[in-house]
Amino acid sequence: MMTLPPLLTPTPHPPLPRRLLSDLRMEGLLSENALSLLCRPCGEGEIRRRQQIFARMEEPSVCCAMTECLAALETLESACLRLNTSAPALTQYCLHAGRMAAYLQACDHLSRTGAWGELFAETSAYFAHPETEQALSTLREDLRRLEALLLPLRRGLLAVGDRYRLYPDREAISEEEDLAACITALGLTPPAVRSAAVPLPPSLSNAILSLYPTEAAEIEEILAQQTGIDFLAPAGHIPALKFFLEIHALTARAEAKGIPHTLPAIAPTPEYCAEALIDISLLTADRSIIPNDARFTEKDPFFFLIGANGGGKTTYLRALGINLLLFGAGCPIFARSARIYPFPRVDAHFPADERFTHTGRLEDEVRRVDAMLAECSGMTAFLLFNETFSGADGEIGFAHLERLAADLTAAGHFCLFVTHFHRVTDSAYPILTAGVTEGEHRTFRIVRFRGSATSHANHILRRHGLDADSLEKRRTNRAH
Amino acid sequence: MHISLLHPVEKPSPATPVKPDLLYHLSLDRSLARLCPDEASRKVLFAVITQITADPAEINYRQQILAEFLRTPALAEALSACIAHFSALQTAQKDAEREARGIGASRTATVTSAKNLLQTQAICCQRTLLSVTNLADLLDQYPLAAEGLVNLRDICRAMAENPAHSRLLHLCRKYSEFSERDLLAYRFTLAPDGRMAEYSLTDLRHLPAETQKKKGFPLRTKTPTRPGVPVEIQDREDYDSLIASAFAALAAHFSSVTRELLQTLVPLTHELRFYTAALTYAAALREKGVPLCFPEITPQTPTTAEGLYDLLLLTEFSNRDRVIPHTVSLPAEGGLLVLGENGSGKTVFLRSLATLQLLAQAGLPLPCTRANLNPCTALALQFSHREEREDNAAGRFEQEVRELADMVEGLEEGAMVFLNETFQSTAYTEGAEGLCPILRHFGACGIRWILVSHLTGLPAMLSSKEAAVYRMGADYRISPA
Repeated sequence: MMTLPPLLTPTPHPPLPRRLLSDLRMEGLLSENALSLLCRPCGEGEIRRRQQIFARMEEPSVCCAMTECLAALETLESACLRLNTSAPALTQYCLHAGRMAAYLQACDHLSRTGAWGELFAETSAYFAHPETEQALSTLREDLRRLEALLLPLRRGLLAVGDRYRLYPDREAISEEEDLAACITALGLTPPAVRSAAVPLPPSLSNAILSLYPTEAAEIEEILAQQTGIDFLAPAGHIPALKFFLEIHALTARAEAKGIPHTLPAIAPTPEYCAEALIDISLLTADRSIIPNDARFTEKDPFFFLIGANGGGKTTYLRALGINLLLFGAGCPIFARSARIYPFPRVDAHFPADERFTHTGRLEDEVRRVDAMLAECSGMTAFLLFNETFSGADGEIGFAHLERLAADLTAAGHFCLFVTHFHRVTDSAYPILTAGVTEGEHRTFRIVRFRGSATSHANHILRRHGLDADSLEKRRTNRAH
Repeated sequence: MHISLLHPVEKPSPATPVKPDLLYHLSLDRSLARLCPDEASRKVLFAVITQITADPAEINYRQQILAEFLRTPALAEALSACIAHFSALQTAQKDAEREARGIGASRTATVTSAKNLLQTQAICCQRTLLSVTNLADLLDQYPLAAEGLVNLRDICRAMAENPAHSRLLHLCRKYSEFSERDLLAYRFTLAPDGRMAEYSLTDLRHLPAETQKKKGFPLRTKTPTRPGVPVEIQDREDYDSLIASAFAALAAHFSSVTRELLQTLVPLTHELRFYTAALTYAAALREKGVPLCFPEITPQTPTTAEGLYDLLLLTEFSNRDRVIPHTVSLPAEGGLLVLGENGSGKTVFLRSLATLQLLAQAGLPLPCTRANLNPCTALALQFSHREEREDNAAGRFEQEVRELADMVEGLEEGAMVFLNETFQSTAYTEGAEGLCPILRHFGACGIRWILVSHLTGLPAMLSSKEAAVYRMGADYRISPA
C-alpha cells in the first residue's frame, strides 16, 4: 500500500530558539504543539498554502469538519496505543477490530479534506488513488467479516458451581433486567445501570475461543493479512490539524474582544509594514489594548525605540515579534492589514536573570549578542533588542550599542532596538518613541520621535514615595 | 407515587407558619397538654396547627380522615401499628446500606460478604413488599369514605395485585435463601474494546439441558446451540471480584425498591401521630360532654360559630356548664371590635376565636355545635407582653409598635390579625388615635382584624363598614354594641 504523504512542509532553515517564545510571552498563549510549529518558519509557498487553509476556516462548516477529522484521528491514535499484546487473545481481537474501524473512519475524513486547500491536495490525491481505494475497500470488508465473527464471542453464559463451564448465549435475560422491569412496572425507579469495564480473565478468553474454534481461526486469518498496513499513519496529521484549530480559536477569542486579525500579503523583498498591530499576549488582561503601526522597509530597516517607563515599548516589541512569528508559520496576525517578508530568521535579546556565575551582565550580553549574529550570518534576519547593554556603565554601554547598531545595519538585518540611552537621538538612526501627554499620561502610542527625550521616571518614583523629597521627609520623620 | 394523610396532592400549597409564641399566648400549650398528654403526638399536633393552610381541599381532606377515625377508632390503632412496622424495616435497611458502603469504601468485598449483603437486601425487600400487601388487606377490612384512606388503600392494593409484585417477591425469596456454592449462572458481555462490560446473574433456565439439576433450582431445558466447554481457571480472584460485583448489583436493585417504598410510607408514622393526638383531644372533650363539630369550609363568607367553648376554660373546670359558650359571626371583610369592662371575658373571647381559626384550619373538630370557616392565609397575634419593669410604659408601647410594624410589613390580603388590648400602655386618646389608621390599613389591604379593647373612643373613629362593634356584658355574653 502507498504511504500517506505528510501534511506540512518542513522548513529548510534552522529552527528558532525556544527562549524567543518565552521572551515574547507566547508560552502562556499557545500549546506546546503550536509553539513547536512557530519555531519553524516556512518559505513563501508554504505560507501561502497555510494561509489558504486559515481563510477557508472562516467558514463554520470547514472548521466543524476539521474538528471532526481531528477527533477521528485522535480516536485512531488511542485505538492504536491501546492495542496490547499482553492482553488476552479475545481482547486483542476486539482491539484490532476497534483499530480497523477507527482507521477507516479517519481515512474517510481525510479523503474529504481536498476542499480545504492546496495543503491537503496530496492527502486527497492519496485517497483518490485506485490502489488506496482498493486497499480500503478490502479493509472494510475484512472489518465487516471480523465484526460478524466477533458478535457471538462477545456474549456468553458461565455456569459456576464446583467447576466453571462456558455456553453460548443468545437470549438470556439477566436478573438485573428482570428486577428492573418489575421495579418499573410497580411505578418505582430502578437504580442506574452500573458501567465499569474490567479486564477479561485470560481463562475466559481461552474458553470462548475454544468454544468458537472456527471463528477464531478465521479471525486470525483476517488479522494476518493486515500486517503490512501502517494504521498509525493518518495520526501523523494530528499536530497540523491541532495547530490550525488552535490558531483559529485564538483569532476567534480575539475577535470576541474586538481585536481584528488578517492574513498578511507576502512581500517579495524585505519589509514589515502593518496597521494597528496588537500584542496578543495581552488578550487575557482586563484592559484595552492600544494598536500601533509598523513600518520597517529597506529604506528604514532599523529603529531605536525610546520613551517613558511603562509607556508600551516592550509591548510594541512583543507585538512585532509575536506577529512576525505567526506570519512566518502561515498564520493570521493580529492587525488590520499587513505586508511582510518571510524573514528566514527572527530572534530577540531580552535582559536575563542575574544568575551569572563566572561573568558579569555586560559580558553575558555581549556573548549572547555575538551568538545571535552568528546564527543570522548569511541571511536577512529580523532582530529585536530589549534594553540590551542597559545594565552597563553609561559610556561603555553606549559604546557597545553604537558598535552593535553599526554591525546590524552593515549586515542588512532589520531591527527594533528598545533602549534608555537617549543619546541615540543624536545619531542618524530613525527613532520611535512611546508617547506621553503633557500631564505625563502614557498614550501607549509608538510614534516617530521629534524632540527631546525623557524617561519620565521621576513621576513613577514620586507616586511610590521614592523621589528625593519623599525620601528626605521619611528620614526627617524617622529622626524625630 | 404520592401517599400522605395530611396533603391530598404531592406539592401542597405553601403553608404559612405562625410565630412560635402564638401557642403560648393562646394558652394552647396548656389546654392541649391537658387534653393530649402524650408528648410525641402532641408535638406533631402543634407542628401541623402552626403551619396554616388556607386550601379548603386540604382542610376537608384531613377532616374526612379524622371523621373516619372517630367513627372507627380500631382502624386508627391498627393502621398505626401497621405503619410503625415500616419504620423498623427502614432502620434495618439503612443499617444494611451502611454496611455495604463500609465494605465498598474499604475494598474488602469478598464473595461471601457480597452474598450476605444480597441476602439481607432481598429479605428487607421481601418484608417491605409483604407489608404493603398487609396494609392493603388491613384497609380492605373497613368501609372507607375518606379520600386519603381510600387513596392509600387503592395504591397498596394496586401494587399488591400487580404481577410484578409477585415476580419481585419470587426473586426476593430466591436470593434470600441461596448459597454462593450453589450452581449459579452468569451472563457476560464484552465491550467494544474487549473488556468485560457486564457480568450479571441470570436464571438457570437459560443454561442448556446438559447442566446438572441442583436442588431448589428447577430447570427448563433448552436445545443447546453448541455444547459448552470447560473453563480452566488460572486466577480465581478475577472471577471472585466479578461474582461479588454481580451480587452487589442485584443487592442494589433490591435496596432501591425497599428504600423508595419506605421513603413513601414511613412519613405516614409521623402523620398518624397528628391523628392520634386529634383523637385524644376529641375523646377528652366528648368525655366532658362538649359538643364537637367539623366546620364547613366556606371561603369569602363570614366565619360563624354557635355555642363555641374556650378550650382553656374547659380544661380548667371539671364541669362544662361553668364555661359560657359564645355564638359569633366574624365579618368577611374589615374588623371586629369588642369592648367591655375589665374581667368581662374579652380576652377569653378573643382566644376562642383565634383558637377556632387555628384548629379548624388544621382539620380538627371544634368545641361548638355548628361552624362555618372562612380560611385565612396567615394569622398574627398581638397580646400584651409582661415586661421587666412594669412602669416602663414607653418601652412596652414601643414593643407593641414594633410588633404591629412587623405585621404591616409581612401580612398580605387574606391574613387575620388578633389584637388584645393593644396600646393599653399609653393615654387613651393617643392609643385610639394611633391605632385607628393601622386598623384602617389592615382593612384596606384585605386583612381581617379582631380587636379586644378598652379604648372606648374607637367606635366613633371607625365607620360601620370598617368595623362591627360588639360589647361584652357582665354575664360574659357578647352582643352587638
